[in-house]
Amino acid sequence: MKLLRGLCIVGLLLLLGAQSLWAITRHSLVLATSANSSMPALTVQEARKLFLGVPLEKGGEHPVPLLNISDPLIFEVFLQKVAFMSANAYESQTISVVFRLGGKRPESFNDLKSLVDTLQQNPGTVTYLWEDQVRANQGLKAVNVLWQGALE
Amino acid sequence: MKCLRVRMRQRYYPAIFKTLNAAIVSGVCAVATLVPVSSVAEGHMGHMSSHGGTGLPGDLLLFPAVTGIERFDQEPRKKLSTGDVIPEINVFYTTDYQRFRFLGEWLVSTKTHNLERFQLGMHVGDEATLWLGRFHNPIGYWNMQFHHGAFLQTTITRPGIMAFETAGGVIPNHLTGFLWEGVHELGEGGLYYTVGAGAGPQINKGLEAFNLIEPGGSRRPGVSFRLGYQPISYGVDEFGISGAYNQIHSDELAVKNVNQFVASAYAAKQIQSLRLLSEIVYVNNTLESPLGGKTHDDFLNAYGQVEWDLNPAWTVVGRVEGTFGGRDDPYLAMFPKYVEDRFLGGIRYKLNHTNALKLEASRDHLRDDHFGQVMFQWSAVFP
Repeated sequence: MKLLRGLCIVGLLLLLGAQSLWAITRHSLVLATSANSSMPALTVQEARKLFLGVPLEKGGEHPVPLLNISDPLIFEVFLQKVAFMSANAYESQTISVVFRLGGKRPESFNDLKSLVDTLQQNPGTVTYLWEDQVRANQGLKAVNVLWQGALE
Repeated sequence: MKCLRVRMRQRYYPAIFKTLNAAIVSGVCAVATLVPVSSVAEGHMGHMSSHGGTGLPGDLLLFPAVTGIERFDQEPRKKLSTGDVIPEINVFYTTDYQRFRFLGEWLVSTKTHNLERFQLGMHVGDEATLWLGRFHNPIGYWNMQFHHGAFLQTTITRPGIMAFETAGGVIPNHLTGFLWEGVHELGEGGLYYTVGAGAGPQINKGLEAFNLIEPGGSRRPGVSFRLGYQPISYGVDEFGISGAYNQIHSDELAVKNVNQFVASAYAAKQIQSLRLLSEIVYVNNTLESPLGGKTHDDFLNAYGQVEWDLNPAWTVVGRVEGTFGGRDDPYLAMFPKYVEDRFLGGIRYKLNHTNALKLEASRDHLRDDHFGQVMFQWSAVFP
């Protein structure tokens, strides 16, 4: 009986530990905009088109995409989970789409502070950020989740 | 593309414009060459840099290129020069104003200058645009994908069947009139459709597209369509068909008019680091003589291109092109510089996300002639 109770406790601890670990490594990539913005939620497909330079109108809004390249990891997740292509392919595809159909390539930011400032000052702009980055900034809000999961 | 420009006729402008063109192109290319190319591709972040700071409301793209050509073993007629160096710059600008869109593309090289595209468009609904102006004929894949952007192509040359009018091409590449295009969403995929109608080219020692700056000549109508399926919309993979009907006035002594039907199918597919691109084009012509006699002919052209990305910087490419039924074709007889068959191998090295170097070797067969060719090209896109 004692042995059984001990095994149960160890199992419970392992379960709680695994849950905590999952919670730690779990990431949410969200579409972020200014807290003053009335931007509607965009599907992953709509976000993908927008970040390829295709103009989009939704709920009376014309979202302007800002490409977040401030961190290699977030850019890689964006490429894999939203754009579905490599960095090379994304670069040539944005040029190709604009060159073929018109439109405008997204402006890119390699500095997070500058990106956040631009987002806050221009309510029509959107970008992708980690959920905790949005939570940490009062001037921003998450429109919807683009991807959620654990990073390998 | 560039190799064929060597053989281009100097039909549009006097010597002073030619000198001016050369000065502009050389100047711009020289400035572009001075742009630092030190950030060699080293991964994703190496490819991307902040852009968008042109201050213009729309998007401006500059495609400068310098192409060196060396030909050897020309037999038996030696139609082309043995070598050349051609600087060029293609200027593209597009901007939106409410529901309207402007798009323009201007190419200047030491061999030619042309307003290649000049389109005014109006968005209709969420997915379509109606254009008015001079546009690229929606025939096949290559013509709509790469336009005049040398940097976007992995190879230096275009396939012979997709050669521009000014470079000895046999299919009209430009129309001036109306173009209706859009993408219809199908789940994750998209159906990309295009229908165009307008004034086509005339034949005057080769095809001569309608020139917006210097209109003239005898133009007859052409219509074309293209239907492409993209498994992931705006992605790299695309499969499609296209077709065209062109009436072409001819200034040739023996031919007064040509009625031309074109049908094509194409496929572009990315499999890991391998990219496959293939098109098959069927052309049927009816040639009318000044005396009223009619001659019918047809031919088939196909090409396949394989690109292999060794890493983000290096790409190896090979292409095979062939024309079937073109040997005694009376229509093709009017285009002595049309490349009927070609075996090509090459390599592209991306210095960074805006600069590339290409080296290409090929064995080309024209009508009654063949030669070997080695080409070198620096191309870029700015900003």
